[in-house]
Amino acid sequence: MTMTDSEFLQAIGLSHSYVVDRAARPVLHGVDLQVRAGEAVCVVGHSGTGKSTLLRCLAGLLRPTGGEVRLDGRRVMEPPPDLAVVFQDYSRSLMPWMSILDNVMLPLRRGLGSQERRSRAQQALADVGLDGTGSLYPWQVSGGMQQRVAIARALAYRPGVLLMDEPFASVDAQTRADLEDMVLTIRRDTGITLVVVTHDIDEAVYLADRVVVLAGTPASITADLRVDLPPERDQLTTKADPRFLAVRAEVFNMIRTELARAGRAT
Amino acid sequence: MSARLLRLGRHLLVEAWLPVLAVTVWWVGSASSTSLYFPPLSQIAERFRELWLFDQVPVHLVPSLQNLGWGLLCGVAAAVATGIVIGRMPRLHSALLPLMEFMRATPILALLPLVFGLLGLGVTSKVALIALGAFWPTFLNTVDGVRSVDPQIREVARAYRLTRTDIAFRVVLPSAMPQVVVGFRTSVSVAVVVVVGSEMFGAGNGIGYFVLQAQRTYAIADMWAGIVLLGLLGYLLNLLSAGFERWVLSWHRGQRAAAAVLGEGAR
Ligand SMILES: Nc1ncnc2c1ncn2[C@@H]1O[C@H](COP(=O)(O)OP(=O)(O)OP(=O)(O)O)[C@@H](O)[C@H]1O
Ligand SMILES: [Mg+2]
Repeated sequence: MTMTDSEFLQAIGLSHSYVVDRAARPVLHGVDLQVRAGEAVCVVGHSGTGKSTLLRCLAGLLRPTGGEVRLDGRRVMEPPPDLAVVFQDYSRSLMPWMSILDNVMLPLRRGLGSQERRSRAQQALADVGLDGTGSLYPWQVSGGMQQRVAIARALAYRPGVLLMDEPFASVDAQTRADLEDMVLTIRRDTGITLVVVTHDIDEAVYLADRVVVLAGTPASITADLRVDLPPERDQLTTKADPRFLAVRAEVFNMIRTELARAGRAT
Repeated sequence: MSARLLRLGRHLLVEAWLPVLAVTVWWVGSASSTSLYFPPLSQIAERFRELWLFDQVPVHLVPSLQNLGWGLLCGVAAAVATGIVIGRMPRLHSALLPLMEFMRATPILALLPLVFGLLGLGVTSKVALIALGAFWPTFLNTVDGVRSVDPQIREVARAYRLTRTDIAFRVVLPSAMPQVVVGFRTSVSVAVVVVVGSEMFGAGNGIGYFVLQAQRTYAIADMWAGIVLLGLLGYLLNLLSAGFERWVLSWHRGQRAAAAVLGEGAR
């Protein structure tokens, strides 16, 4: 590799406008984001700022109207192999005509034998605490369980880059903590590169090496905060660590300032 | 087990009382009929037994069923295949739409003389006509089904780089299946009409031919026996396709029931 490490996944001058009633409606403007290989970045911002739009652009699912996305030096025009996405609208992202196990195995059909597919899928389901539900259909389980199926599908794919859009929004607090720790474990074991959109500031700081704040209309990155915590994290001790609390307060303030500014603007 | 039998029995009673009543009224009312076109039902039943249990079955019923089977198979297979392709090409679809609407609106039996002229009076013409009649309902519904695949599901297919075959057979087709099946059931009833119609026009066998021939030779009880057979056939085919629907769409019913319980589905 010729480029430096910091340029693994990058958005460069990224802008996006949706066309609404024949008029361009700018959502993102001049977003610059650099993610190092193996880094975990959390994106926070208000509802409707464009977090999902940014994630879709990073995934190659949406062609930005300006700027570009690069992965490992190559311009992203289509979803790259080795990248997985957990969608915000998880229940609509599962196929209702397939069992949970088949849903998780579906993306593995390119290049894996059926034995390998099955064992990987079962492993991933066990990892998210859904042992033994493989034969059910997605609509037979709760919303929180559906969300975990969507996560299992991404994990079984064993991507190098994992993009998650509010992946733990519908699960209970205990499961959420377990899933956060599971993501950290996977990171430590595989060196996966993570971009996670979340509303929860505690979660963002707990998971991330960096927290970026997306704000404004159109939105850009208004803050990029390094989380100065050791990689080994623990739900109790880390969340009581002064460094954790400092970053948490900083992010909290950024967002509140943004809210106030938005309030004045309208 | 016995509870299930009981339920089945009650179900049959609920379903059957009206037909039983209708047949009884017909039987009693027509018992002393001397009208040429409405012979006593007892006479019709007698002829039905003599003709269709099972003397004339190989002569007239089997050829009709064969044509029906082949026509449906070809028409529906072609409809699903082209429906998937055209449903995924919005430009081509809007270009073809007026033409397709025109073709669908043309009564298929109006093409009968043309097709018989082109392909002769044999089995080929009949199967071709049946296939053409069966094609449109399934095709148009398949196109609609394919076009209405949830965009979120399409995104999943793209993000995880599913192969073309997997997208066609594991994503698009199952998602469109509820509409495909609606189309298929219409295709079955259209196909039955075309089977009978084509046999009335140019044929030496088949139930349609038999009914027309019976009328022409004033064998009115025979004619009625043929009509009753067609009615029974239609009823049976409908039962079969309803069973087929239940079988392939069990996930769909389950999902809708679950969504109804949860209100708006899991959000
Ligand atoms: N396909 C679309 N067409 C037009 N406008 C869109 C489309 N998708 C999103 N938008 C608009 O773009 C803006 C950003 O949407 P986006 O979904 O990216 O926000 P978000 O930050 O993910 O919000 P949330 O936190 O609620 O998920 C919103 O105002 C939304 O209404
Ligand atoms: Mg969003």
